[in-house]
Formats: sequence, structure tokens, C-alpha cells
Amino acid sequence: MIRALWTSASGMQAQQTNLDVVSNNIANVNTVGFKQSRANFEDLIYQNIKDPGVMSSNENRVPSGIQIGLGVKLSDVSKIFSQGSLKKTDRDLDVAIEGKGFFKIELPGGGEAYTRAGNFQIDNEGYLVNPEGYRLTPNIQINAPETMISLSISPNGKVTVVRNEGGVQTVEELADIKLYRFINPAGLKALGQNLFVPTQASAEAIEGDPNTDGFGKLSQGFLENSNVNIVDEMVNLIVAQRAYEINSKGITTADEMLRTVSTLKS
Amino acid sequence: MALNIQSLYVLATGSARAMEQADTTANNIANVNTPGFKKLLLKEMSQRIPQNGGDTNHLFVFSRFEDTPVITEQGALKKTENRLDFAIEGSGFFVVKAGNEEMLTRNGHFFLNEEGYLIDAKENFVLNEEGENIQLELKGEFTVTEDGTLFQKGEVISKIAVRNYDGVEAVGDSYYRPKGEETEADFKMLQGFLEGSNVNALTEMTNLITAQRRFGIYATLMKSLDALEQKTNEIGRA
Repeated sequence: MIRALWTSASGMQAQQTNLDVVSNNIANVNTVGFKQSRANFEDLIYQNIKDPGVMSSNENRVPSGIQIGLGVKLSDVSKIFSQGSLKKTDRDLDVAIEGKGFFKIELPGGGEAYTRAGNFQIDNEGYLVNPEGYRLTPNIQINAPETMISLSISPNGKVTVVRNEGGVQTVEELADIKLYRFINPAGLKALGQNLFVPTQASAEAIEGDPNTDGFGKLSQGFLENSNVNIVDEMVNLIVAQRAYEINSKGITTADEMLRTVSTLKS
Repeated sequence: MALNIQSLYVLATGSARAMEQADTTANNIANVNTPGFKKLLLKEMSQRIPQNGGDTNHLFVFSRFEDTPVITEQGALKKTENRLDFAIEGSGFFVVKAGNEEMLTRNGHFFLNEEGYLIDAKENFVLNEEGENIQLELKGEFTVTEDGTLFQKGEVISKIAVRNYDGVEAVGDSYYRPKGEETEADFKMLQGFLEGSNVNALTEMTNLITAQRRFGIYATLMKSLDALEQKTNEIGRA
């Protein structure tokens, strides 16, 4: 049968995946700390068709090495870790990272994950947790939260609590917030819930203090928006749709040709 | 009788070429969105049956393959914001070590592995001008200048190899193999950009229509020949 049928089908499939990735980006256009993904493609193998030994003229033979490609496939879907814009929230427990670092989160049942989303809360034991209730590591615990007046987080990660104990204001310093960096953040695996886990491609996390060595400085009272650029994504959507459409024309053409074949013999 | 059958074969080879034209076009269209993809052109030629030379009554000309050259025309550049994406504007290819072989690619979507080596999506090493792997320090930003020199912390680390050849042959997985002589590469390297496919959707749609119509015309002619033959068979019957 005609190769073009399957070749065009592979193109439609690729564009479908592209559409899936773009839709996910658009769906998360407003998700705190979300990083956009991009689908990358590469061509499939080529079939070498030879017409061996035929004479093109009295002396020359047809050269071999006629190639017909067999379509396209997905090569990888990678995250793009560019900085999202910062949004002022005026909430003490909202922290944005301006730089390349990640917060480390303790997963329930062991294991660690990393996130850019700094919308923290305090759980019933006084620990700083993410919206799912997973603890920030190194753990930061606030004892006696009822006496707390304010909590401040400095750009380099110092967490300070001001308390009112029997009419006297006291200041208590808690553990520092640490940040983590990756050599190749594009190799991180997304878990959902704004969490990422390291893989062999991303390599192990490097620990450091905020505001040093490019780890990024912390901004209390701000959140990092998604880095999805809605205009870009709409353009990607259009490209995916048109590419899908013209691939479908390839299938229609191949189908029409087959129909022609079937009507050759009346 | 024999004459008419011969024409049928000639038309059949033409139909086969039209099908291959559709196959090639479908592959170009499937890769309309593949970074660094270079379209293929199907070249055909006419082939005469040598024995018939000079005899105009029996001059049958078959349609044959000639070549499928890779058209290395520039693709559109797209900004990606990823510092590990590189695009070549102009001529030349990145050189990648795949197994024991050096492969060429225009897809500059690279990564760093855990040791800081520059690799591609297939985890093959990207080579520098000396044909060695490129290692970067894992901390710290790096930049690439227009001639492909990598700088990190103000120091020259390496120079990304860009090589150009007379002709190349497509291998798949975004790789090309040299075919012909090495020539001077004239290029500008851009960091944070990827080169799009050089497939022009309009041209390919036209090729698709041409292939289909051509196929249809051959089919009509074949049917007409068949009808003629039928008439011959019916002579003297009724």
C-alpha cells in the first residue's frame, strides 16, 4: 500500500502530542511556579530504495541511494525553566524565588521533591508546609503559633518570628530556608502538584543559601507566576492545528490514489 | 497488441513515481514542525530502452528515480529561551558522535549530562572543532558567540564544531551523514534559538495535488488502453 498513509498518520500523531503539551501549558497559565513544557520532534528512519542496475542511457547506470522518509516521532518533552513574573500577594507565607533555585519538599512516605511554588502554610504542628501539607526541608517549625505577631523571611533565607509573650515582644530566629539547584533543570521529572524530582539527566541537587551563587533571592509577600507566555502558546496552538490539517490532507491524497487504483479495472 | 501492453507498463512506472512523490511529500509534511529538519526532493528522469534507439515507433520512455537530494535551505529561527538550544544560521551542521560514527545534525536542542558534557536528545556527545567531547563546569552560566566559541566565567572553554559538505544523506533521528566533499561552513550560531523545519506547507500541498492528479491521469490513460484492447477482442464476435 502507499507509505504516505502511515507517514501522514505519524505526522498527525506527533501534532496531537504537541497539542496535548500546549494545552497543558495553557491550562496552567495561572498556576503558581508552573514551568512550561515543549514537545520536540525528530524524523523517523529513511528507507533506501534502489533501482539497481538499470541503464539510464547507453553507458550510465542509475545511481543508488534513493531515500524515502517514513515520518516523524516525538523525541522529548522538556521543561523550560525561565523565570516567571512575580506577583505581590502581601501574605507572609508567600515566598518567590528570583533566580535558579528550588525549595525542597519532603514527600509523605519518604523521598524528596523540589518546587518553585512558594505558597506555604503552617500545619497543626507548626511546620511550614506546601498546599498539599508536605513539609518544607530543612524543616521550619513554629512553636506556639498563637503568640506569633509576625513572621519574616529575609532575602537570604533567615526566618524570624516576632512574638508577644505576656505583653513583651520577643524575636526568635528559626532555621534558615535552603535552596537547591540543578545542573540541568530541563532533565527534572514533573510529578504534578508543582513538584519535580531529580533524574539521572538533571543530576543531584546542589544545596546552597538563597542570595548566593545564583541560587536566587527570596521575596516574601510575592509569588512566582507561571512562565507560560499565552501569546506564544496560542501561536503554537495554531501551528499544531495547521500541521495536523495538512497531514490529514496527505492521508486523503493517499486514499484517493488507492481509490483510483481500485477503479482501474472496471 | 504488444504495443499497447508496452504502453501500459510505461504508465504503470509513471504511477509508481507519482506514489513515491506522495510518499516523499507526506514525509516532508509530517516533519513540518521538526527542529532542524531538511526537506527531501524527489528527482526523476526518463529512461529509454537502449535497444529501441532510433526506432521512433518503439520509443518507450520510462519514468525512473534519479536521486533524493536533501535540500539544505535555511529554516525559520524560533526563540526558545533555553540556553542549551542552539541554531545555525547559514550553512553547516553540528557534529555529534553516535556510536563510532560522526553524524551531522541541524537540531541544536542539547542537554548537559551529569558530568557536564554537552549531549543531544539521543545522549550522544556534541563535538568541538578538535573532534573531542565538550565539557562545561556544572556551576555558572555559559554563552556562545556567533562563531560557536563557548565562554564560561569569561574563559574560552571550547569551540562547537560546524562542518559543511557538498551533499548529505538523511539517516533519521534528525541526523545526516556526509555525502561528498567537505566545504567551508559560512554561519552564525545563535544561543536560545532553534531552527525550524524548512518545509514550506504551500509547496508541499501543491506537490501532493500534483502527485494525486498525475496518478489519476495515468489511471485514466490505462483505462482507455484497456478499453481499446477490449474492442480488439470483440472484433468479429458479434
